[in-house]
Amino acid sequence: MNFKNLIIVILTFLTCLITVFSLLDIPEFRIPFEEFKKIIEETNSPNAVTAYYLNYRLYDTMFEVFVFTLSVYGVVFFLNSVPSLEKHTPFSDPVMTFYARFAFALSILSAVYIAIVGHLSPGGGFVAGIVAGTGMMLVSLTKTIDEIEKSFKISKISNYEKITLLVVVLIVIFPVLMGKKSFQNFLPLGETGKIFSAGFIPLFDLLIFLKVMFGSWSITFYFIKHRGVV
Amino acid sequence: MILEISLGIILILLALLVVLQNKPLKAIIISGAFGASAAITYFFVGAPDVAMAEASIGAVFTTFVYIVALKHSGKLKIGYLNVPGLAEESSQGYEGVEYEILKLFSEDVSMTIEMHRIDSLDDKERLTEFDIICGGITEKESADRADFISIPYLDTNIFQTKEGEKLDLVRIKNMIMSGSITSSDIEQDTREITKYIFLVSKESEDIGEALRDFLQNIDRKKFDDIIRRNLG
Repeated sequence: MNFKNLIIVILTFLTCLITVFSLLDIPEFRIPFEEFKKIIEETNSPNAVTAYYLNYRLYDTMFEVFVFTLSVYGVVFFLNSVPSLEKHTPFSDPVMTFYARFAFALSILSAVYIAIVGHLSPGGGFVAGIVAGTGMMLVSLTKTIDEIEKSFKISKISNYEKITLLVVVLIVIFPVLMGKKSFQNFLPLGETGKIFSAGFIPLFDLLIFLKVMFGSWSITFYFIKHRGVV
Repeated sequence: MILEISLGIILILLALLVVLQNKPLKAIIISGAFGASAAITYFFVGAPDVAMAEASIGAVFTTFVYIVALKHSGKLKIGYLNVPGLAEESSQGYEGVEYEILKLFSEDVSMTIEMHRIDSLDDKERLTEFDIICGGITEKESADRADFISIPYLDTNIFQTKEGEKLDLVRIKNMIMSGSITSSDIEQDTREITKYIFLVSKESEDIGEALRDFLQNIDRKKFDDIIRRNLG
């Protein structure tokens, strides 16, 4: 083992040690009750995390979506300069093909569930999108590039992705037309615990879900197209 | 509490394992395991949202992207002088001792090899394209190359012909086999002991280091077998 490796090992060990000690020092997990009550009353969303990042901190979340879009375009732009593969061989093993497609169905189902109940239980748009993207990646491994490209072109996924971004921006500035401030909830709050409640939080969850799903799938599609499956 | 501590220890061990791997593919797979354990840890310290994201990103998505990225970035460009027995192109592809050793090496470091034929070692511009150059190059004739590191792998002899040309053992053998010279053309008392080498470009120094390690730890039985099959 040379000197460089030794330094890397020591640094990793120290980082891990700090992580473990910080785990030991976690204070008693106590939510200030008034704060919590206030959040639920104001947003009508039992999941305070989602309520925070899709209502109070919507401004930050919107730019997070922008950053994600930019990184997807970055990957697509870079990989377009790489010549695409002439020969593309998908997985042909029947067992693997079956399980990959089965996992695809399962992950899309769970992703939609996670997205639409993001304001009621742990979950949300980002997680749901990446789960669905992973499922789509699995199914792309079992198809030829022509089949994937056909579904990619026909459904015009890249167009939907751009439209989603536009819709997010429009919803964010829509309250201005109603005489309110931007980034403010304009939908009825509804009854706590129902799917159609908590104002525009489920709407944003759904939009971010679509955005992240299409984005992460674009990344895997271009990777498979230009560099091939393993 | 015990659960959190044991998960933390597992994370430390996996992180160290990732760093200590020699082969990139193994490191990627262990980092996938690290992602899965991290997801469990997040779940038990009260962050199920983050755990879900980590499980799909850390364990599946990044593993896939890394593996695909690894596959094509790892390309070894090899220039070879055509010497039957050491490196030659035949109807079934490539064969020879040096080709087989480099093939084993490329599998060891998860790279693919790309063979390019060169005619002489004189064209210095062209030689800089390659990571490794092979084809019966001996230590004596290329000791003064500045852009390359030489890595010896096999003992050989240099003989002098009556015309004053210096040739190595395999080339002499090939010439005798093809009948262009006979064994009486060789001057017996001019035998010099030297080694066959691989020339590795100084720009890809890490490949040279890996090749040297690989040649030191190679299975002797396999190595002898390769030589017996190709050189007899």
